[in-house]
Amino acid sequence: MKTVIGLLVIFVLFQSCNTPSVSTSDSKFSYKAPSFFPDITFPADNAPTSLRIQLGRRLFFDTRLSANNKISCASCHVASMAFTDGVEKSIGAHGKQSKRNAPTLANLAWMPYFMAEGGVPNLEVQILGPIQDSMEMAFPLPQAAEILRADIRLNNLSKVTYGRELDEYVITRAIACYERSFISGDTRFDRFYYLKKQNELNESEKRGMQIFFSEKANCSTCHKPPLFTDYKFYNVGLYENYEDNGKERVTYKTEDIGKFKTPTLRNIELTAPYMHDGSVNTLLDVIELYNKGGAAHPNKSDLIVAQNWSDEEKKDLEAFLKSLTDWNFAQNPLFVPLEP
Amino acid sequence: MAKFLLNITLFVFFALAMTSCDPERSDVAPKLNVTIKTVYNNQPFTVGEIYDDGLGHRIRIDLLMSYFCPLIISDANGNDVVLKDFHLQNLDNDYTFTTEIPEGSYQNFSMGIGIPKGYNKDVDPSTYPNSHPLSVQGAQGMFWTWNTGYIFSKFEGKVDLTGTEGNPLDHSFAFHTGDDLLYSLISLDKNFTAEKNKTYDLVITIHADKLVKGDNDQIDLAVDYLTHTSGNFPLAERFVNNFSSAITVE
Repeated sequence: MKTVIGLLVIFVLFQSCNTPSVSTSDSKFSYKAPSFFPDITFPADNAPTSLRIQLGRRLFFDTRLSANNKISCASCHVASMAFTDGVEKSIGAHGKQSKRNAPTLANLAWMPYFMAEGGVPNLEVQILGPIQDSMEMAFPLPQAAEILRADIRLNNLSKVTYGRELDEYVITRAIACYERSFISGDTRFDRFYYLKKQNELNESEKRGMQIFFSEKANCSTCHKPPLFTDYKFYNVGLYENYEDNGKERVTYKTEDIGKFKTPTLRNIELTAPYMHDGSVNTLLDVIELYNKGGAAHPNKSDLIVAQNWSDEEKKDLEAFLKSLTDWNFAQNPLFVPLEP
Repeated sequence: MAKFLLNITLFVFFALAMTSCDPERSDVAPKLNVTIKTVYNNQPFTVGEIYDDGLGHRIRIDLLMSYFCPLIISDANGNDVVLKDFHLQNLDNDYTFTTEIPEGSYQNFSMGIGIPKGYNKDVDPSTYPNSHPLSVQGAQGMFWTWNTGYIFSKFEGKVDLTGTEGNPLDHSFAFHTGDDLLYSLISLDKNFTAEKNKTYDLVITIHADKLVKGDNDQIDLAVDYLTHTSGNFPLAERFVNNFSSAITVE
């Protein structure tokens, strides 16, 4: 009898060693946003909790969400590059090039709509896109969900924190929950401007900041602090003829051709190449584009006019833009994969 | 007394049993068999078959899918009976379902091509159960990945512009239509009186040839071969107009 009980105990212990442990309790999670940022509004069904973020973090780095089992969200959104990937256009699971430059994922918690033409209403729905898009991860989400459901740890996490088996609903919500934690607001500019620490910016950066906020340059009209975007749509005169029509794709209005959502300038130093199509390689090249007033296009914003900056002014502006880099964000240990 | 009660009970059971077996006394609501089928030049349509497009081009349709939401019959007083709220069909196959309908005189059949406003945009497909045609699984890829909203219809294939037998079909065409602006509700006469205990047939026929060879608009696939609605909204609109007049009901 003792032998039988002993074997049973060993069997139970062996089984429990094979099952990844998952916490059975969850707790509310508070995103740490700077005091000078607006409040965050969460979807009613997706308030952040520690386990939702943990599940989202695991899924964000999970290559099983792609057709070739090699690409995860993190492949095109690398934390050290402010969640971009440093290339003009990313290559998807089937070797196809995506249509646009990978955007930064910083401060998504405040974004009112998604994609460069603003057609997607919220982050949860946006996540359906890249997973299933034939040029990106190219995998039917129901198929991916079935595979991931077989992962005991992920499925248990799902059941504990969302009260249901891992499915399309949970995948989109958990990743959204994690992505909303990508908050970036700790830069030298922030310490100088909001926390009044005068030594944070050097003289060149201060001169660049004056240009940036000047009425003549108009940069801050669209790239409005603290988030450095107004989330509106502009044609900035990148081309005379656009291959990608931007906002017109959802409105069908010719006056919207070439209009794209204002991107944030936070961490802009880390997110080259630039513009919606990754066609501009360096920050100085972008500055030069605006310095010349952009290409002639009937929809070009009135805010885009030639500036005639000197070389020194351009360098000052570049220096100021680099003061918007949040190194703590780029090196945040929460933005790397969890241990298996 | 006990014997009397037993007799009464047996009588009631016997009477009930007899009544339920009498077909004249049954009370079964009318049934309607609804079939959606596709034809090309009035012959059964087959994916992969080569057809003429009306302009001498040889056309092969590889995919034809569409949302039909809702399917409705209406009586003389304008009262609607919804046969199906949401239906997505790969038109490679016929589809039949049976539903009960109230007794009455019906005069009209109407059907949406696409998804009605309110169910189309700003909707999260992952919130529907997998069995629902609007869910991520049920939609079978019929929603945009870059924009909000569902793809109402997909019409894809290849065409040989020379029209010569044996030549390769080397030009692709793809029509993906969607957006609230292109939702279309068609209405057709369908007169019948539904009585108890009877079954009726409603056959909806999609004439796939008329999608390009419309009654009033021939789409030339040599010139107009691609629309994702965005990028070529006028072409998407033409396709939807053709689709709306490519449906008959018997």
